[in-house]
Amino acid sequence: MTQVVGNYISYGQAARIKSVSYQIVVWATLLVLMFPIIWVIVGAFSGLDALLSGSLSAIFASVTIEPVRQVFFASNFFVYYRNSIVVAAGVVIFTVTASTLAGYGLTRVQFRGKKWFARLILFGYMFPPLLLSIPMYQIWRQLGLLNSHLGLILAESSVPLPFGIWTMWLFFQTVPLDYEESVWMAGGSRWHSFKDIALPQAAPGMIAVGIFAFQSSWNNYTYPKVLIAEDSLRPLTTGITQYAVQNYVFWNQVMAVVFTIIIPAFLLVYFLQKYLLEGYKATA
Amino acid sequence: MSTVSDGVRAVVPTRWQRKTNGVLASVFERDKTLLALCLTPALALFILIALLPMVWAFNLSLYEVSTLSPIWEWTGPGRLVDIVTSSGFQIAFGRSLVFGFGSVAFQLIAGVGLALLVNKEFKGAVLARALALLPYLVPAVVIGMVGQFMLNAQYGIINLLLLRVGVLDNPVAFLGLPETAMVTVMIVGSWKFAVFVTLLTLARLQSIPEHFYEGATMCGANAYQKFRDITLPRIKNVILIAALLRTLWMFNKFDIIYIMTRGGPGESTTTIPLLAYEIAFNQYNLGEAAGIAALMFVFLAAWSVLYFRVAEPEQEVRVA
Repeated sequence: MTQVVGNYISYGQAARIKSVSYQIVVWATLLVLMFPIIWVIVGAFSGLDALLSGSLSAIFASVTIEPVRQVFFASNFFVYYRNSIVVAAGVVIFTVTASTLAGYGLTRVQFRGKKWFARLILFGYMFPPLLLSIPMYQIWRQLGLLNSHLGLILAESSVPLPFGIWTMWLFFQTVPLDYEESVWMAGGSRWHSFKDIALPQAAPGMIAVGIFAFQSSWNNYTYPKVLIAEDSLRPLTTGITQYAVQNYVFWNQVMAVVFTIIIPAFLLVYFLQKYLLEGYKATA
Repeated sequence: MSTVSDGVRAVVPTRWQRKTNGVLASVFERDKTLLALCLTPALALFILIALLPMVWAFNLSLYEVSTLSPIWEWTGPGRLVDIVTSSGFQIAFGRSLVFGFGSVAFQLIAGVGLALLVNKEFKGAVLARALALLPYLVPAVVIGMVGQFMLNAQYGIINLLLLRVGVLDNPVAFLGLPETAMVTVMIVGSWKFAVFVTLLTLARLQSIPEHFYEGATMCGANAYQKFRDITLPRIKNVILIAALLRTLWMFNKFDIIYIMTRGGPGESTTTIPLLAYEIAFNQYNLGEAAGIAALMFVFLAAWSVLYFRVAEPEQEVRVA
């Protein structure tokens, strides 16, 4: 028997209305935030003349795959893409290895001045990367690292490294020592406890640092601009500016390239999100 | 005494029971060697890619060096005084303050807001979070170019939409006017950089147990009280850390400004990094550019030390 109590609605109905309106707010906000991405996709499949005409109906009438085809088959696109992936992979390996080891050492070994050591790492961020690239250019020339992927990987590692060390240091503090101690009690060595106990538990932190390293390399513009002069070694970020030829920008081709840069980024945040959020929970 | 240790042995896999005599095992056994081994790769990298170029640049700032010739001519620390007293540096420093602190304030508000918005569980929350985090993985160069494209006065979609809706009467060249260029670059940059704040805040929010809120609701707390007493104390430190890192990064930001405005129109978006670029690569004066960077370092270092003193962002971290 249902009882109508004045004009009130039931608790369940109220909760449902609240939840639906909340979701509408979320998706509406995201729609506004994603507008640039939507416009990139529209641009990537439009004719250049229509894009520059300033008329919306002309833009939507000019749907074409020509810009994507142009970019794929008539430019160095795949070379840039491969270079970006190679360099990003290198930066991820360097950063994750160095910061995981450093994080473990900083957490498990006691020494004086640890707090200051951790703070000093951040001093790596106080010099403009652009101005670090000039000395790097001169040093790399001496070492024969100019115009090489190894040189670029080393240079780009300077961006994620301090934050990576910081993150792993904080993350290892949430990995309890007890499990490692029980391995030692059982006669296992410290190397074993590190490799088989501490490391797997630190995996979310390592993935979070890895993604941070990936994005900072994938995004880096300054270092490849200064350190890589050869076109066949350029990553996407400096390669993309090639589509702007002498004040004339092929906007639809640029948007096609941008579209292909965004896809792997989206896949990363969609599928590795769980680890990413788990990995940064210890920060601060 | 053997009973306890035998009991432990029984539940531990046999491969851990072996007393390893390998080199790695013995190295890891002693604290000092462990520390050395763990810190060496990070320290070696840090020295090569951060410390060495920094010391090099500091040294460079004391010489008169042209980008075009290899001769270094000693000028001494007086050069730094000359830079500080020059009006070009002072004006650019003022713009850096506006750009740096303005961007960070904007990013903190937008970033924390976005994190709170997508924190709740609902159907499609994973997709919503992925979309919210996406801008952080889009390169700044790309964002700069897309921003230029969308904000163009003749064919940019922002102008087209604002004209159609009636907010604007005439198209505005957002990046071409000295009054709007700085704010525009700050907002476009924040589209990406606010997400760093979102990421750290969201990670922290996700680790707050749901029953804290349930308990508060049962006690009759309203939404604001729950936010103030449960959420805020737990995200305070992460916001302080994010604010520090973002300030350091925004003050040294070069790419997004360079791509969008080249420091213009006029010099209205020429912050310190762009001034240093201009002097190094257009006026070929490497020494002075390094001097500007060195002064920026001193400012950021002083600000960070002060920040650590006042805000103590890692006070909750177990340091011992």
